[in-house]
Amino acid sequence: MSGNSANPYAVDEARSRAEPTRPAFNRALWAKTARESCALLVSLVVLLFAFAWVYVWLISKIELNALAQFLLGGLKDLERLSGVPFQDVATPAGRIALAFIDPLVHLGVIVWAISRGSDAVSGELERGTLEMLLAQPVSRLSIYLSKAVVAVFGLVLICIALWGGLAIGIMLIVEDTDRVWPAMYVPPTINVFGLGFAMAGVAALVSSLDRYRSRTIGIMGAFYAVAVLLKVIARMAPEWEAVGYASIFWPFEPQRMIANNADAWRLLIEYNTPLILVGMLCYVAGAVIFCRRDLPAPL
Amino acid sequence: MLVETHELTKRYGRVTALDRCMLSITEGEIFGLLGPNGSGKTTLLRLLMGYLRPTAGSAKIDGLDCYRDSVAVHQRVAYLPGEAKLVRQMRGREALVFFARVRPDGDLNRALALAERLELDLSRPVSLMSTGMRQKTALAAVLSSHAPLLILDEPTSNLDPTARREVLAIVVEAQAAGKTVLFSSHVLGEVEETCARVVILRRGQVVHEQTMHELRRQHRIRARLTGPLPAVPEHFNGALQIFQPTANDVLIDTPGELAPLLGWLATAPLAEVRIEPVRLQTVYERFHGGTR
Repeated sequence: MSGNSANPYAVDEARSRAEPTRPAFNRALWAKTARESCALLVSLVVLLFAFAWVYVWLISKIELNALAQFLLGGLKDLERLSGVPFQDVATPAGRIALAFIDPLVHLGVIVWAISRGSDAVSGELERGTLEMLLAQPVSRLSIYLSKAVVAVFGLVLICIALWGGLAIGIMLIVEDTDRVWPAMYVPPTINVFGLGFAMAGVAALVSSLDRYRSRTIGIMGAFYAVAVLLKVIARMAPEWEAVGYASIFWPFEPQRMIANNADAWRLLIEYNTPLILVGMLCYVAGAVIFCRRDLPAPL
Repeated sequence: MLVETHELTKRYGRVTALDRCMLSITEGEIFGLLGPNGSGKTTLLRLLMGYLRPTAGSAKIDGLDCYRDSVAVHQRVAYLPGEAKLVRQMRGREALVFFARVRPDGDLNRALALAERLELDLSRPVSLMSTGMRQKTALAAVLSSHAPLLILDEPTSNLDPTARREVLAIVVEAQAAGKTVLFSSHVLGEVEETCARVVILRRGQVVHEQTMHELRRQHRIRARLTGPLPAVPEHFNGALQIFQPTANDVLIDTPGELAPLLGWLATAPLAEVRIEPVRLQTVYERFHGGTR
């Protein structure tokens, strides 16, 4: 045995017998979780803020009459897909509301929700880092909670960035401020949050059952594709409308809240309640599963 | 007893990974777990850490149930997994800071001192570290803890000989400072050098328990037979283990002092007699094949 330096155990051994205290809020754990999400969060916040602002600018360049002719002309058959009459889209407020169903916004929110939700359990398991983490005096629930809270907090920031971009765009670019004002886009933004929360919850649930994050992401990708398909089928084929209720996108109707602005908050409650419920139930179910399951050894 | 398992069993469907394991480890000892891959060592350690729910039986550390009171148990345990993985975005120093802060009894100064002793480059990102460097970083984080029990799953795997020696020295120092150490290893030499007691596992069962003190009293006699071996004196009956690998060779394992046996050996028709201390390797091979 060699011993080329001082014995690290020679000092302060009394501490080893002392009962250590367990903080309810483990700052190091939360900081680690936040740090892991930071790069993606900053990218999405910047992207969606800039997109929303640029979107308002670009959409303001399109003449309303031209937009109405375009929508009500050749695209009339696709009206059912939009969920609102095209005449409500071809308004100063309606055309801006299209931003909420733009693929970029959709993808931004879904990417965040799936990436953070899938990381909850199977992410740490696949990387093999859960072993060392769980060996510390932190509960499984606190690890899971840190992931969930960071996912939700990040989602709030992304939605604020989206709304902020629209709000600044509206204030700086839109002239018709009697019919378009930033606050009217708050309910649709909260609806976007609801969708992201539900997706993050489902992803966390799948993650808590899985051991490979890549597989969790694959499952969530398939879930997303099927959900979109079900909603499109339900919209385009009225005889198949019932299948739409099986889609997580069914209560995602931000454009309706602009088309029926007077009723926006009631619609928001109607649409967001199932989304928030799905998200919460999935998060709770995921927590129960994670706290009880056997943890496989890393490969 | 600091660690105690009672009929501890873990099954996965029809596969029994650990079968009615009975184990007691007293405070202040270095205890070794031996067995080939798949013998149940890691399953036992993971049950002690509360990562797995026992199918039957119980595991307790400091009187606390390892599964139900896992957080309280983890306050008393510093654990190094077999495959220690760290957050890849962190640098070595950041990893040590994280583990020092995440534990109420974390000690960054001690972790840094250990890192220096293990000649670690802490400025390097974990993602750019070799397997051995990552292992050293994890060891510095784990061994710096003030927890009274260290559980180390193959702590010296992936390490160079110098680092191995240093880690074993640190383990011995930890024991001298009053800590209890439970470690598994495939390197029998280091277990023999370090541990006071070992158990050997085979197919999920504890098949042998050995104290090093007893082992050091044991000898193995190898010889060539020049005639039939005479009957063993009555007072040795049951104590000696005699093997004949071939018709002309004999191996005699003595469980205790050698002196009383020498008289009988002198009368036996033996040639080329060699007497050697029994090593842990020999005991291990009784249960896990190998050559005698």
